[in-house]
Amino acid sequence: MTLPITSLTGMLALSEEASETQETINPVLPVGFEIFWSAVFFFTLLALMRYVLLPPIQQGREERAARLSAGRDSVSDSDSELAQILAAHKEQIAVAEAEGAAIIDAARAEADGQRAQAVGAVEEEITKLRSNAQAEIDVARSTALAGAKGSVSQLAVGAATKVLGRSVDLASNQSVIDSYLNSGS
Amino acid sequence: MTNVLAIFAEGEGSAVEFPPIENVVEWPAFFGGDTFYEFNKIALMGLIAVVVPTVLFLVARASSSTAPSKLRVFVESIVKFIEEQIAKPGIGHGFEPYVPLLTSLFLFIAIGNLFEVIPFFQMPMNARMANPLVLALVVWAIFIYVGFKNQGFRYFKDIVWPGHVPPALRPLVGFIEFFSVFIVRPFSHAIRLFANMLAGHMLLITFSVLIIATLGQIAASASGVVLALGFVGSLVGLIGFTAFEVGVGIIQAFVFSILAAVYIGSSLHPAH
Repeated sequence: MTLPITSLTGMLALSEEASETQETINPVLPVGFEIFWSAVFFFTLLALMRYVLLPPIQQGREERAARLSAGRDSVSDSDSELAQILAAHKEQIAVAEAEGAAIIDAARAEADGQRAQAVGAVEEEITKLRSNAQAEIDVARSTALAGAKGSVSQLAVGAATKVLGRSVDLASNQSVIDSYLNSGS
Repeated sequence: MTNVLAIFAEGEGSAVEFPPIENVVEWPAFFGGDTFYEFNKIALMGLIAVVVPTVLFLVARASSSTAPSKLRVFVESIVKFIEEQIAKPGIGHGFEPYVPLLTSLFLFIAIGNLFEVIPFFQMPMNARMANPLVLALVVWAIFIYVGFKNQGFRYFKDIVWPGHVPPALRPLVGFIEFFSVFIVRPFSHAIRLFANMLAGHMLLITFSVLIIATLGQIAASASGVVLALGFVGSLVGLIGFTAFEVGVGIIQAFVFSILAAVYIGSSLHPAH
Protein backbone atom coordinates (compact mmCIF):
# COMPACT_ATOMS: atom_id res chain seq x y z
CA MET A 1 0.00 0.00 0.00
CA THR A 2 1.46 3.38 -1.00
CA LEU A 3 -0.03 6.68 0.02
CA PRO A 4 0.41 9.59 -2.37
CA ILE A 5 -0.03 12.93 -0.63
CA THR A 6 0.09 16.36 -2.06
CA SER A 7 0.05 18.49 1.02
CA LEU A 8 0.93 18.55 4.68
CA THR A 9 -2.66 17.65 5.45
CA GLY A 10 -2.12 14.71 3.19
CA MET A 11 0.55 13.50 5.58
CA LEU A 12 -1.93 13.75 8.40
CA ALA A 13 -4.35 11.72 6.32
CA LEU A 14 -1.62 9.13 6.05
CA SER A 15 -1.42 8.81 9.80
CA GLU A 16 -5.21 8.60 10.03
CA GLU A 17 -5.27 5.88 7.44
CA ALA A 18 -2.46 4.15 9.25
CA SER A 19 -4.58 4.25 12.38
CA GLU A 20 -7.37 2.56 10.49
CA THR A 21 -4.90 -0.06 9.37
CA GLN A 22 -3.87 -0.63 12.98
CA GLU A 23 -7.35 -1.94 13.68
CA THR A 24 -6.44 -5.07 11.85
CA ILE A 25 -2.65 -5.02 12.29
CA ASN A 26 -1.53 -3.77 15.66
CA PRO A 27 2.22 -3.06 15.64
CA VAL A 28 2.38 -3.27 19.42
CA LEU A 29 0.78 -6.63 20.10
CA PRO A 30 3.13 -9.63 19.87
CA VAL A 31 2.41 -12.38 17.38
CA GLY A 32 2.28 -16.01 18.46
CA PHE A 33 4.89 -17.45 16.14
CA GLU A 34 7.32 -14.63 16.95
CA ILE A 35 6.91 -15.38 20.64
CA PHE A 36 7.54 -19.04 19.86
CA TRP A 37 10.76 -18.40 17.95
CA SER A 38 11.96 -15.77 20.44
CA ALA A 39 11.54 -18.24 23.27
CA VAL A 40 13.20 -21.06 21.33
CA PHE A 41 16.20 -18.98 20.32
CA PHE A 42 16.68 -17.24 23.64
CA PHE A 43 16.47 -20.41 25.71
CA THR A 44 18.85 -22.08 23.24
CA LEU A 45 21.34 -19.26 23.68
CA LEU A 46 20.86 -19.30 27.45
CA ALA A 47 21.50 -23.05 27.64
CA LEU A 48 24.53 -22.79 25.38
CA MET A 49 25.87 -19.87 27.36
CA ARG A 50 25.30 -21.62 30.68
CA TYR A 51 26.78 -25.01 29.82
CA VAL A 52 28.99 -24.66 26.73
CA LEU A 53 30.11 -21.16 25.86
CA LEU A 54 30.79 -19.22 29.02
CA PRO A 55 32.52 -21.72 31.38
CA PRO A 56 35.65 -22.24 29.21
CA ILE A 57 36.05 -18.52 28.73
CA GLN A 58 35.73 -17.79 32.46
CA GLN A 59 37.87 -20.78 33.40
CA GLY A 60 40.63 -19.81 30.97
CA ARG A 61 40.60 -16.27 32.26
CA GLU A 62 40.81 -17.42 35.87
CA GLU A 63 43.63 -19.86 35.07
CA ARG A 64 45.56 -17.11 33.36
CA ALA A 65 45.01 -14.81 36.33
CA ALA A 66 46.20 -17.61 38.65
CA ARG A 67 49.29 -18.16 36.48
CA LEU A 68 50.05 -14.45 36.52
CA SER A 69 49.63 -14.40 40.28
CA ALA A 70 51.87 -17.46 40.65
CA GLY A 71 54.40 -15.84 38.35
CA ARG A 72 54.36 -12.73 40.49
CA ASP A 73 54.87 -14.85 43.62
CA SER A 74 57.71 -16.71 41.91
CA VAL A 75 59.35 -13.46 40.92
CA SER A 76 58.94 -12.22 44.48
CA ASP A 77 60.54 -15.42 45.80
CA SER A 78 63.35 -15.10 43.29
CA ASP A 79 63.93 -11.51 44.36
CA SER A 80 64.12 -12.60 47.99
CA GLU A 81 66.46 -15.47 47.14
CA LEU A 82 68.58 -13.16 45.04
CA ALA A 83 68.82 -10.69 47.93
CA GLN A 84 69.92 -13.50 50.25
CA ILE A 85 72.54 -14.71 47.76
CA LEU A 86 73.74 -11.15 47.27
CA ALA A 87 74.05 -10.64 51.03
CA ALA A 88 75.97 -13.91 51.40
CA HIS A 89 78.27 -12.91 48.55
CA LYS A 90 78.86 -9.51 50.10
CA GLU A 91 79.67 -11.17 53.40
CA GLN A 92 82.11 -13.54 51.70
CA ILE A 93 83.69 -10.62 49.88
CA ALA A 94 84.09 -8.73 53.16
CA VAL A 95 85.76 -11.77 54.80
CA ALA A 96 88.02 -12.25 51.79
CA GLU A 97 88.95 -8.57 51.81
CA ALA A 98 89.79 -8.77 55.53
CA GLU A 99 91.87 -11.90 54.99
CA GLY A 100 93.58 -10.27 52.02
CA ALA A 101 94.39 -7.19 54.06
CA ALA A 102 95.84 -9.34 56.87
CA ILE A 103 97.94 -11.31 54.37
CA ILE A 104 99.15 -8.11 52.76
CA ASP A 105 100.03 -6.65 56.17
CA ALA A 106 101.89 -9.80 57.18
CA ALA A 107 103.71 -9.92 53.87
CA ARG A 108 104.59 -6.28 54.16
CA ALA A 109 105.92 -6.81 57.70
CA GLU A 110 107.90 -9.83 56.59
CA ALA A 111 109.30 -7.93 53.62
CA ASP A 112 110.23 -5.03 55.88
CA GLY A 113 111.99 -7.45 58.20
CA GLN A 114 113.83 -9.13 55.36
CA ARG A 115 114.77 -5.78 53.91
CA ALA A 116 116.04 -4.56 57.28
CA GLN A 117 117.97 -7.77 57.70
CA ALA A 118 119.47 -7.48 54.23
CA VAL A 119 120.30 -3.84 54.74
CA GLY A 120 121.92 -4.68 58.10
CA ALA A 121 124.01 -7.43 56.52
CA VAL A 122 125.09 -5.17 53.71
CA GLU A 123 125.94 -2.37 56.11
CA GLU A 124 127.89 -4.79 58.29
CA GLU A 125 129.79 -6.00 55.23
CA ILE A 126 130.46 -2.42 54.20
CA THR A 127 131.73 -1.62 57.70
CA LYS A 128 133.92 -4.66 57.65
CA LEU A 129 135.29 -3.81 54.23
CA ARG A 130 135.81 -0.23 55.27
CA SER A 131 137.61 -1.37 58.43
CA ASN A 132 139.83 -3.71 56.46
CA ALA A 133 140.64 -1.01 53.98
CA GLN A 134 141.44 1.40 56.77
CA ALA A 135 143.75 -1.17 58.38
CA GLU A 136 145.50 -1.73 55.07
CA ILE A 137 145.84 2.00 54.64
CA ASP A 138 147.25 2.33 58.13
CA VAL A 139 149.74 -0.48 57.50
CA ALA A 140 150.79 1.02 54.21
CA ARG A 141 151.15 4.43 55.74
CA SER A 142 153.18 3.05 58.64
CA THR A 143 155.37 1.14 56.23
CA ALA A 144 155.80 4.18 54.03
CA LEU A 145 156.43 6.37 57.02
CA ALA A 146 159.05 3.95 58.39
CA GLY A 147 160.80 3.86 55.03
CA ALA A 148 160.67 7.61 54.79
CA LYS A 149 162.04 7.98 58.31
CA GLY A 150 165.10 5.86 57.42
CA SER A 151 165.78 7.88 54.29
CA VAL A 152 165.23 11.16 56.09
CA SER A 153 167.54 10.08 58.92
CA GLN A 154 170.25 9.22 56.37
CA LEU A 155 169.75 12.54 54.61
CA ALA A 156 169.76 14.46 57.90
CA VAL A 157 172.97 12.75 59.13
CA GLY A 158 174.60 13.30 55.74
CA ALA A 159 173.55 16.96 55.73
CA ALA A 160 174.66 17.47 59.31
CA THR A 161 178.08 15.85 58.54
CA LYS A 162 178.59 18.29 55.65
CA VAL A 163 177.44 21.28 57.69
CA LEU A 164 179.48 20.45 60.76
CA GLY A 165 182.43 19.19 58.83
CA ARG A 166 182.69 16.16 60.95
CA SER A 167 181.16 12.80 61.06
CA VAL A 168 177.84 12.56 62.76
CA ASP A 169 176.82 9.22 64.14
CA LEU A 170 173.40 8.14 63.02
CA ALA A 171 172.73 5.77 65.89
CA SER A 172 173.53 8.36 68.58
CA ASN A 173 171.32 10.98 66.96
CA GLN A 174 168.49 8.70 65.89
CA SER A 175 166.32 9.67 68.86
CA VAL A 176 166.70 13.38 68.04
CA ILE A 177 165.73 12.76 64.42
CA ASP A 178 162.72 10.61 65.41
CA SER A 179 161.58 13.20 67.92
CA TYR A 180 161.70 15.85 65.21
CA LEU A 181 159.88 13.79 62.72
CA ASN A 182 157.19 12.74 65.20
CA SER A 183 156.60 16.32 66.26
CA GLY A 184 156.11 17.24 62.59
CA SER A 185 153.68 14.47 61.84
CA MET B 1 12.65 20.36 6.82
CA THR B 2 9.76 22.76 7.19
CA ASN B 3 10.53 24.28 3.78
CA VAL B 4 10.49 20.88 2.16
CA LEU B 5 7.12 20.07 3.66
CA ALA B 6 5.83 23.44 2.52
CA ILE B 7 6.91 22.69 -1.02
CA PHE B 8 5.11 19.39 -0.83
CA ALA B 9 2.08 21.28 0.33
CA GLU B 10 2.19 23.43 -2.84
CA GLY B 11 1.13 20.48 -4.93
CA GLU B 12 2.45 20.17 -8.50
CA GLY B 13 1.62 16.51 -8.38
CA SER B 14 4.42 15.77 -5.93
CA ALA B 15 4.01 12.88 -3.51
CA VAL B 16 5.72 11.40 -0.49
CA GLU B 17 5.29 7.68 -0.46
CA PHE B 18 5.51 6.27 3.03
CA PRO B 19 5.80 2.52 3.32
CA PRO B 20 2.65 0.85 4.55
CA ILE B 21 2.54 -0.21 8.17
CA GLU B 22 2.52 -3.86 7.12
CA ASN B 23 6.11 -3.43 6.01
CA VAL B 24 7.07 -2.73 9.61
CA VAL B 25 5.01 -5.33 11.43
CA GLU B 26 4.47 -8.08 8.88
CA TRP B 27 7.11 -10.02 7.03
CA PRO B 28 6.63 -12.74 4.45
CA ALA B 29 7.13 -16.26 5.79
CA PHE B 30 10.18 -18.20 4.66
CA PHE B 31 8.33 -21.36 5.67
CA GLY B 32 5.50 -22.51 7.93
CA GLY B 33 3.14 -19.73 6.90
CA ASP B 34 0.07 -19.27 9.14
CA THR B 35 1.36 -21.80 11.69
CA PHE B 36 2.75 -21.35 15.19
CA TYR B 37 6.23 -21.94 13.78
CA GLU B 38 6.02 -19.48 10.88
CA PHE B 39 9.59 -18.44 10.13
CA ASN B 40 10.12 -14.94 8.77
CA LYS B 41 12.81 -12.26 8.80
CA ILE B 42 12.34 -11.52 12.50
CA ALA B 43 12.82 -15.21 13.35
CA LEU B 44 15.89 -15.29 11.09
CA MET B 45 17.34 -12.41 13.09
CA GLY B 46 16.73 -14.39 16.27
CA LEU B 47 18.51 -17.38 14.80
CA ILE B 48 21.47 -15.23 13.78
CA ALA B 49 21.49 -13.61 17.24
CA VAL B 50 22.07 -17.12 18.61
CA VAL B 51 24.55 -18.26 15.98
CA VAL B 52 26.81 -15.19 16.10
CA PRO B 53 27.67 -15.30 19.84
CA THR B 54 27.88 -19.09 19.70
CA VAL B 55 30.45 -19.00 16.90
CA LEU B 56 32.32 -16.11 18.53
CA PHE B 57 32.61 -17.93 21.85
CA LEU B 58 33.49 -21.27 20.28
CA VAL B 59 36.24 -19.76 18.13
CA ALA B 60 37.47 -17.68 21.06
CA ARG B 61 37.69 -20.63 23.43
CA ALA B 62 39.76 -22.55 20.86
CA SER B 63 42.45 -19.93 21.36
CA SER B 64 45.04 -20.53 24.06
CA SER B 65 44.22 -18.90 27.35
CA THR B 66 47.95 -18.41 27.98
CA ALA B 67 48.44 -16.23 24.92
CA PRO B 68 44.86 -15.30 23.98
CA SER B 69 43.96 -14.22 20.45
CA LYS B 70 42.39 -10.84 19.74
CA LEU B 71 39.00 -12.51 19.39
CA ARG B 72 39.37 -14.20 22.77
CA VAL B 73 40.39 -10.89 24.33
CA PHE B 74 37.31 -9.30 22.75
CA VAL B 75 34.99 -12.03 24.06
CA GLU B 76 36.59 -11.92 27.50
CA SER B 77 36.16 -8.15 27.48
CA ILE B 78 32.44 -8.57 26.82
CA VAL B 79 32.11 -11.08 29.65
CA LYS B 80 34.15 -8.89 31.98
CA PHE B 81 32.03 -5.88 31.05
CA ILE B 82 28.85 -7.80 31.87
CA GLU B 83 30.31 -9.03 35.15
CA GLU B 84 31.78 -5.71 36.25
CA GLN B 85 29.28 -3.22 34.83
CA ILE B 86 25.98 -5.11 34.92
CA ALA B 87 25.97 -8.16 37.20
CA LYS B 88 28.08 -6.91 40.11
CA PRO B 89 26.56 -3.42 40.49
CA GLY B 90 23.03 -4.69 39.79
CA ILE B 91 22.99 -7.85 41.89
CA GLY B 92 25.89 -7.42 44.29
CA HIS B 93 27.15 -10.32 46.36
CA GLY B 94 26.33 -13.68 44.75
CA PHE B 95 26.06 -12.36 41.20
CA GLU B 96 28.10 -15.19 39.62
CA PRO B 97 25.26 -17.67 38.83
CA TYR B 98 23.39 -15.00 36.88
CA VAL B 99 26.24 -14.03 34.53
CA PRO B 100 25.15 -16.55 31.83
CA LEU B 101 21.61 -15.15 31.90
CA LEU B 102 22.78 -11.54 31.72
CA THR B 103 25.33 -12.35 29.01
CA SER B 104 22.63 -14.06 26.97
CA LEU B 105 20.25 -11.15 27.44
CA PHE B 106 22.84 -8.53 26.53
CA LEU B 107 24.16 -10.27 23.43
CA PHE B 108 20.75 -11.42 22.20
CA ILE B 109 19.32 -7.92 22.48
CA ALA B 110 22.39 -6.06 21.22
CA ILE B 111 22.83 -8.24 18.14
CA GLY B 112 19.09 -8.15 17.51
CA ASN B 113 19.14 -4.36 17.64
CA LEU B 114 22.13 -4.02 15.31
CA PHE B 115 20.09 -5.53 12.48
CA GLU B 116 18.65 -2.03 12.16
CA VAL B 117 21.78 -0.94 10.28
CA ILE B 118 22.57 -4.17 8.42
CA PRO B 119 21.56 -4.20 4.76
CA PHE B 120 18.78 -6.59 3.75
CA PHE B 121 17.52 -6.71 7.36
CA GLN B 122 17.38 -2.98 8.26
CA MET B 123 14.92 -3.73 11.02
CA PRO B 124 15.76 -4.21 14.69
CA MET B 125 14.54 -7.53 16.02
CA ASN B 126 13.29 -5.81 19.17
CA ALA B 127 11.09 -3.40 17.22
CA ARG B 128 8.63 -6.29 17.39
CA MET B 129 7.02 -6.78 20.77
CA ALA B 130 7.38 -10.55 20.94
CA ASN B 131 11.08 -10.68 21.70
CA PRO B 132 11.17 -7.99 24.44
CA LEU B 133 8.07 -9.53 26.01
CA VAL B 134 9.57 -13.03 26.11
CA LEU B 135 12.80 -11.72 27.62
CA ALA B 136 10.96 -9.57 30.16
CA LEU B 137 8.74 -12.48 31.19
CA VAL B 138 11.82 -14.69 31.61
CA VAL B 139 13.40 -12.07 33.86
CA TRP B 140 10.10 -11.62 35.70
CA ALA B 141 9.79 -15.35 36.39
CA ILE B 142 13.40 -15.57 37.49
CA PHE B 143 13.36 -12.65 39.93
CA ILE B 144 10.15 -13.87 41.54
CA TYR B 145 11.61 -17.38 41.85
CA VAL B 146 14.84 -15.98 43.28
CA GLY B 147 12.88 -13.85 45.75
CA PHE B 148 10.85 -16.73 47.14
CA LYS B 149 13.84 -19.08 47.08
CA ASN B 150 16.12 -16.76 49.05
CA GLN B 151 13.68 -14.92 51.29
CA GLY B 152 10.74 -17.24 51.43
CA PHE B 153 7.37 -15.73 52.21
CA ARG B 154 9.12 -12.68 53.63
CA TYR B 155 9.81 -11.59 50.03
CA PHE B 156 6.09 -11.32 49.30
CA LYS B 157 5.30 -9.86 52.73
CA ASP B 158 7.94 -7.11 52.46
CA ILE B 159 6.38 -6.04 49.16
CA VAL B 160 2.70 -6.05 50.12
CA TRP B 161 3.26 -4.94 53.73
CA PRO B 162 6.44 -2.77 53.69
CA GLY B 163 7.85 -2.42 57.19
CA HIS B 164 9.73 0.82 56.51
CA VAL B 165 6.47 2.68 55.74
CA PRO B 166 4.23 4.25 58.40
CA PRO B 167 1.51 1.73 59.34
CA ALA B 168 -1.31 3.88 58.04
CA LEU B 169 0.21 3.96 54.56
CA ARG B 170 1.17 0.31 54.38
CA PRO B 171 -1.98 -0.92 52.63
CA LEU B 172 -1.75 1.75 49.94
CA VAL B 173 2.01 1.46 49.42
CA GLY B 174 1.76 -2.32 49.58
CA PHE B 175 -0.90 -2.34 46.87
CA ILE B 176 1.18 -0.01 44.69
CA GLU B 177 4.31 -2.09 45.25
CA PHE B 178 2.49 -5.34 44.49
CA PHE B 179 1.02 -3.86 41.33
CA SER B 180 4.37 -2.37 40.36
CA VAL B 181 6.55 -5.42 41.01
CA PHE B 182 4.34 -8.28 39.93
CA ILE B 183 2.13 -6.74 37.25
CA VAL B 184 3.66 -3.64 35.69
CA ARG B 185 7.36 -4.46 35.87
CA PRO B 186 7.56 -7.02 33.03
CA PHE B 187 5.54 -4.82 30.71
CA SER B 188 7.51 -1.64 31.47
CA HIS B 189 10.68 -3.68 31.06
CA ALA B 190 9.57 -4.95 27.65
CA ILE B 191 7.95 -1.78 26.33
CA ARG B 192 11.02 0.34 27.19
CA LEU B 193 13.11 -1.72 24.80
CA PHE B 194 10.41 -2.24 22.18
CA ALA B 195 9.33 1.41 22.01
CA ASN B 196 12.87 2.75 21.77
CA MET B 197 13.75 0.45 18.91
CA LEU B 198 10.49 0.94 17.04
CA ALA B 199 10.76 4.73 17.38
CA GLY B 200 14.32 4.68 16.06
CA HIS B 201 13.25 2.48 13.19
CA MET B 202 10.40 4.82 12.27
CA LEU B 203 12.78 7.77 12.43
CA LEU B 204 15.14 6.15 9.93
CA ILE B 205 12.19 5.26 7.68
CA THR B 206 11.05 8.88 7.76
CA PHE B 207 14.46 10.21 6.74
CA SER B 208 14.80 7.59 4.03
CA VAL B 209 11.40 8.47 2.57
CA LEU B 210 12.24 12.17 2.64
CA ILE B 211 15.51 11.55 0.82
CA ILE B 212 13.76 9.59 -1.92
CA ALA B 213 11.00 12.17 -2.20
CA THR B 214 13.32 15.20 -2.36
CA LEU B 215 15.66 13.52 -4.81
CA GLY B 216 12.76 12.79 -7.12
CA GLN B 217 11.41 16.31 -6.93
CA ILE B 218 14.60 18.35 -7.33
CA ALA B 219 14.62 18.36 -11.14
CA ALA B 220 10.89 18.90 -11.57
CA SER B 221 10.37 21.63 -9.00
CA ALA B 222 10.94 25.33 -9.44
CA SER B 223 12.31 25.39 -5.91
CA GLY B 224 15.13 23.04 -6.71
CA VAL B 225 17.60 24.71 -4.34
CA VAL B 226 15.30 24.36 -1.38
CA LEU B 227 14.61 20.76 -2.24
CA ALA B 228 18.32 20.13 -2.63
CA LEU B 229 18.85 21.56 0.83
CA GLY B 230 16.05 19.31 2.07
CA PHE B 231 17.71 16.33 0.40
CA VAL B 232 21.09 17.11 1.94
CA GLY B 233 19.51 17.72 5.34
CA SER B 234 17.62 14.44 5.17
CA LEU B 235 20.72 12.57 4.04
CA VAL B 236 22.78 14.00 6.89
CA GLY B 237 19.93 13.23 9.29
CA LEU B 238 19.69 9.66 8.01
CA ILE B 239 23.43 9.06 8.37
CA GLY B 240 23.51 10.71 11.79
CA PHE B 241 20.51 8.82 13.11
CA THR B 242 21.81 5.56 11.67
CA ALA B 243 24.99 5.99 13.72
CA PHE B 244 22.84 7.09 16.63
CA GLU B 245 20.73 3.93 16.33
CA VAL B 246 23.85 1.77 16.67
CA GLY B 247 24.53 3.46 19.98
CA VAL B 248 20.88 3.25 21.00
CA GLY B 249 20.84 -0.48 20.23
CA ILE B 250 23.82 -1.14 22.50
CA ILE B 251 22.55 1.17 25.23
CA GLN B 252 19.11 -0.43 25.22
CA ALA B 253 20.71 -3.86 25.58
CA PHE B 254 22.70 -2.51 28.51
CA VAL B 255 19.63 -0.90 30.09
CA PHE B 256 17.51 -4.02 29.74
CA SER B 257 20.28 -6.20 31.19
CA ILE B 258 21.08 -3.96 34.12
CA LEU B 259 17.40 -3.63 34.97
CA ALA B 260 17.18 -7.42 34.95
CA ALA B 261 20.19 -7.51 37.28
CA VAL B 262 18.65 -4.92 39.59
CA TYR B 263 15.35 -6.84 39.74
CA ILE B 264 17.19 -10.08 40.55
CA GLY B 265 19.38 -8.28 43.08
CA SER B 266 16.35 -6.84 44.87
CA SER B 267 14.93 -10.37 45.11
CA LEU B 268 18.22 -11.91 46.16
CA HIS B 269 19.00 -9.51 48.99
CA PRO B 270 16.28 -8.41 51.44
CA ALA B 271 15.68 -4.69 51.68
CA HIS B 272 17.41 -3.19 54.70
